[in-house]
Amino acid sequence: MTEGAIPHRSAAHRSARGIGAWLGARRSRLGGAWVIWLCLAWVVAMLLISLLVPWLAPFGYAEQSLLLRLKPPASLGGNESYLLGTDNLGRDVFSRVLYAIRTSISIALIGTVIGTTIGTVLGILAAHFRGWIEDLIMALVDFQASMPFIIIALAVLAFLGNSFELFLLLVGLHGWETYARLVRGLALSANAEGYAGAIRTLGIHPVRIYWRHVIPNIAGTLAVQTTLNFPDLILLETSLSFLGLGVQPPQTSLGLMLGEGRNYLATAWWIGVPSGLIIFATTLSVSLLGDWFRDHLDKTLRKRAG
Amino acid sequence: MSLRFLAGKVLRALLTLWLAVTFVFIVLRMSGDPVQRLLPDDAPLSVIEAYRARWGLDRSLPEQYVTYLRSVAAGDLGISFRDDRPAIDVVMERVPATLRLGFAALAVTLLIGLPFGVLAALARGTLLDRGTMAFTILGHSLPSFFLGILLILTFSMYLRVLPSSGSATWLHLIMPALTLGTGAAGAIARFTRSSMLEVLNRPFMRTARAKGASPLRRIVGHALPNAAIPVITVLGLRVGALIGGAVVVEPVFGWPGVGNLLVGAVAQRDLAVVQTIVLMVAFTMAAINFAVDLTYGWLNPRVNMLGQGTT
Repeated sequence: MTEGAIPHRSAAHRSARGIGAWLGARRSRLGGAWVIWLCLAWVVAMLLISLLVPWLAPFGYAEQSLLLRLKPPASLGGNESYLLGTDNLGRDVFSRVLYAIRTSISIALIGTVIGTTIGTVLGILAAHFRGWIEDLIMALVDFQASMPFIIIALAVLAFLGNSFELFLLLVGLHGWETYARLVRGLALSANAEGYAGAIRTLGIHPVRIYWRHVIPNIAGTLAVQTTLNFPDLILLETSLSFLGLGVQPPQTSLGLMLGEGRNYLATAWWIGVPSGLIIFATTLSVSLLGDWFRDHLDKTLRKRAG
Repeated sequence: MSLRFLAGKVLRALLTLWLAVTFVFIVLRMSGDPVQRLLPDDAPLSVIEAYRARWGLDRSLPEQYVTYLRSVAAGDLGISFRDDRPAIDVVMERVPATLRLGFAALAVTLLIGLPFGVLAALARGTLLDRGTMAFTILGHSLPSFFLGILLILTFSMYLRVLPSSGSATWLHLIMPALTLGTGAAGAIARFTRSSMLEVLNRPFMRTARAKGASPLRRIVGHALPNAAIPVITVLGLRVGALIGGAVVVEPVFGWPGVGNLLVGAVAQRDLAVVQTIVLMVAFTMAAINFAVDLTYGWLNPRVNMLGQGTT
């Protein structure tokens, strides 16, 4: 980890061995390691689709052919150039699903960056200044943790109107309190440990200490936490879009497609169901990966298992 | 229970409420003229002027803030422009339906979550444990709106045994309650399991075994009460998840509750209704967290000595 850091039993120290153990591990309590490889493969596939969608999609996401509306998937007797059929406007469901993956994954990724940044900064501020600043930040953390976030998000969208930037920010604000709490705790214990004190006596500026020494030391634990939070961001975005209050047409998202498909359940289930399955598979894969990381970074759990 | 502990918890509940009101006040001011936002567009000028005077909009922001706090405390939360009635009345008449759904979902959660969590911990590493854990992760990852749609496709469209929308009969309650309760059941099972495992490893469990207590007594008398402490805290947090979940699940099944009302109100920007619901949820959450803290202090006397419980 940090060069020159005195060896200590920090979370990051554990994580270094944890990842080693992970690479060498053969089984998880949920079955063989192949499950984890499958999850990893799915996540990588989603990321690749997000990057390469303009080259992968046979049609544009808004491209309509009004003569071919509500056609079933190709394998169920539909038009063979429309793999997953068409929707009520004659748009290719397969292409739209690919574009929707890109929207949903991008929003969740950007949201993760926003959330970790805000949470880390506030957590470090709380740990550094203590006193009323810490009280204030922790009161905000408590407040956010006590309110169902979707209610707050809906209120902001109602009051300020829906714009894509605001929606991104809202998704990002979901979960900052988890990071703030975590970082505060880790920074406090890092400050109490020998190495931070040792650097401090050298007269190095606190910002530099946090940036160069504390953050690298807690980055492993933070990374695990982002993996654990990621499914919640996907679910928040897809839920709001499903309700018609998130991503707005003509853009598309996995939630929005399921919401649109809801009106055609009886006649054209294929509009919504593929998106639902992809949301499910993605949140499931990331959750399993996150659990795996956490279990293998947590020394006490590992000791008990061994 | 020490007085200091109680006072701290009351303070925390009040702080949550105050932050919620302040949050609504700030966002409302950011959105422009609150009177125009909280009253119908065609409200007579005299009514607009009356509200303007009542909220003191001609005065400074801090003064406006105090007036706003006062009017919220008096239960005056504006008029719903869709219904032309006080927003609080519009919201209150939707509460019973949401409570009915919420309690049914909570029952589903506990009936599935607790037994499976305990059994999984006791049978650690077996097929039952792995199956339970797999189910909990599946339940958590399956978005409630998708589960709802799958249930409708299966039971309303394909088998034609359950109504897909409405709340007229008890049959209408089944699918919404299952949808809302299943996701949380996984979380509770999972948490119960890890909490039980934690407790089973403690020295006092060894002591209990050494003094010859029967396995049943060790589990029911020693492990469960200790394992229950974190589970109760999490259950309190799950109520928040239930409320958030209801916002998504109610529209799927056309359930006439507060969640459905909120989604409609946000779409049509009926802000008086939105602010009423936000404040009501904040009040509910403050009350629940307070109750959780008290139960926590009662179940775990050590919390009193420390003077605070970290949640």
